[in-house]
Amino acid sequence: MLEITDIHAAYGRVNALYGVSLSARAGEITCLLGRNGAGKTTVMRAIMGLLPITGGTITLDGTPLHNLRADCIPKQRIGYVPQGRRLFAELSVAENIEVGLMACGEGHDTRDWVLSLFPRLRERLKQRAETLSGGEQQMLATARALCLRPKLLLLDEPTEGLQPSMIAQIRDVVLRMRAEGLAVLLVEQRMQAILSMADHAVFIENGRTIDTLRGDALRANPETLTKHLGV
Amino acid sequence: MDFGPHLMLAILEGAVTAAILALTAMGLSVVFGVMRVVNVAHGEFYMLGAVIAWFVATTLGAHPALGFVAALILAPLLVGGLAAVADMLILQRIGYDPERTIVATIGMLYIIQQGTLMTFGPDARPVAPPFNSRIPLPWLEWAEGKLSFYYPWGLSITSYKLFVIAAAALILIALWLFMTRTRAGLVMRATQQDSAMAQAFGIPVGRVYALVFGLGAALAAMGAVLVVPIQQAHYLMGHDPLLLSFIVVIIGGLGSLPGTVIAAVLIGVSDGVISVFFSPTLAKITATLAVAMVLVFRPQGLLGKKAH
Repeated sequence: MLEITDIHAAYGRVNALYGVSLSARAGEITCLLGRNGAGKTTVMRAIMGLLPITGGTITLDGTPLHNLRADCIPKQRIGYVPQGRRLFAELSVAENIEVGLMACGEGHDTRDWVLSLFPRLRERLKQRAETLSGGEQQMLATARALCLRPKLLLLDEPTEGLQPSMIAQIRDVVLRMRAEGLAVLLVEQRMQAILSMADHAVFIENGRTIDTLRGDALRANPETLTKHLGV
Repeated sequence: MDFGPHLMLAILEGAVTAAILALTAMGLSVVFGVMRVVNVAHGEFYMLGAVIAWFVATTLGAHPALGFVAALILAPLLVGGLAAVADMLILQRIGYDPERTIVATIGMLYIIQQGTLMTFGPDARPVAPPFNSRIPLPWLEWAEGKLSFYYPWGLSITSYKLFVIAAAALILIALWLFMTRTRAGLVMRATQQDSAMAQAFGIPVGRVYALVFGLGAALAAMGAVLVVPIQQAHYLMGHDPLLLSFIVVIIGGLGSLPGTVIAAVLIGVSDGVISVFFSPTLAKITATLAVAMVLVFRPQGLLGKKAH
């Protein structure tokens, strides 16, 4: 599915990634882990083409993504839930969903499907995204990404700042997507979520991949998380 | 003429100015709102619209209404197309960097202005209005214990000026419907909110920017086609609309379309009233003073959002 091999990237003259490699497979959740500033969000942005890479390769099912324009990448069926949600704040819930549907030409069936995953959004369709609660905004960000009917879902700290009931709801949807065969690349800080969901864990530090573990190995030695993340 | 009828006349003249200004400033506002580009060449797109209107009307040479309708269709299309090409060839290549776009649009200003001077010459060119009958306006007076209408001498407006007000209102309503009810409008608004996220959802931001830059210039050209039967087309006519458009956009709030309309009405009508009762120079001084006050007391403009 997703193969990232030795990518390098920079913000202007400041290098951010010095050699990140990872893979994410269909029907699995791959957790991308690291301390603040390690480069997790940068990896996500590089996959989406929002930050051009200066070396290495990114492929999805053998198709190179790093040669594509940023607006062509979501058409490869990659859904992106960025850190901080980044909703179109002044657009309504319905309009945010419509933007998601436009990317891959999805229609009413997909709209009904995402609204069935997050029924609360159906009650808020005419409401501006900026007026939603934090949890509802996260639901909308996830729903918008699922509108692409993605085969790869990128989730950047989806539970950040949410109350436990909302976290459980987002977690249920992520697990359901895994069961439906999506590849999920998840950036997460909460140890409990990592240990309960990860099929694979990739640790990065200072813009480099430093370790890769299977989920069961991680669950057998949870102190690995403490070692790498300092939590 | 009494004060009341005189004031009504001034307000109507101001409404014509406001209508043209709303269209022109809306183009500037749309471009800034979506692209964050300060388009210093905007006045030249307005001038180009007027010159093309003259060229089309003169070339067709038939009934003025035919030439006018052809100009109203062709001038915005040609000017909008030119602006879209300029966006792709110049602004996209400099990455919409704020400082460089200002310098680049100053360059475009001079290229368009001097190109027009070289091809169309320095003369002011009149365009015949499609219709221009004089409509006397009634006024109310209290006489013999009841209100009655009468027609004061000199209180009149031309049918064409009323048409300008109505046409501008219709174009603005059409623009609002386009922005709020169509997929292209949704794409523009999404790009305006967050261009990086728009790309992450498959929106070709480069093409959207070219379309928006073209749309902004086309709106200026529409304003010019409407005004050219009242003012003559001339290669230097873009300066005042540019200045007034900036005044309107700053007062209304950068990127706020409703704010732009409200500010255009305020500036246009005050321009009309002050010009009639005092002098056009005082009207410009007042508008500039209004901008200064807005920048001091409400920098985000009437309906703009505070920068975080």
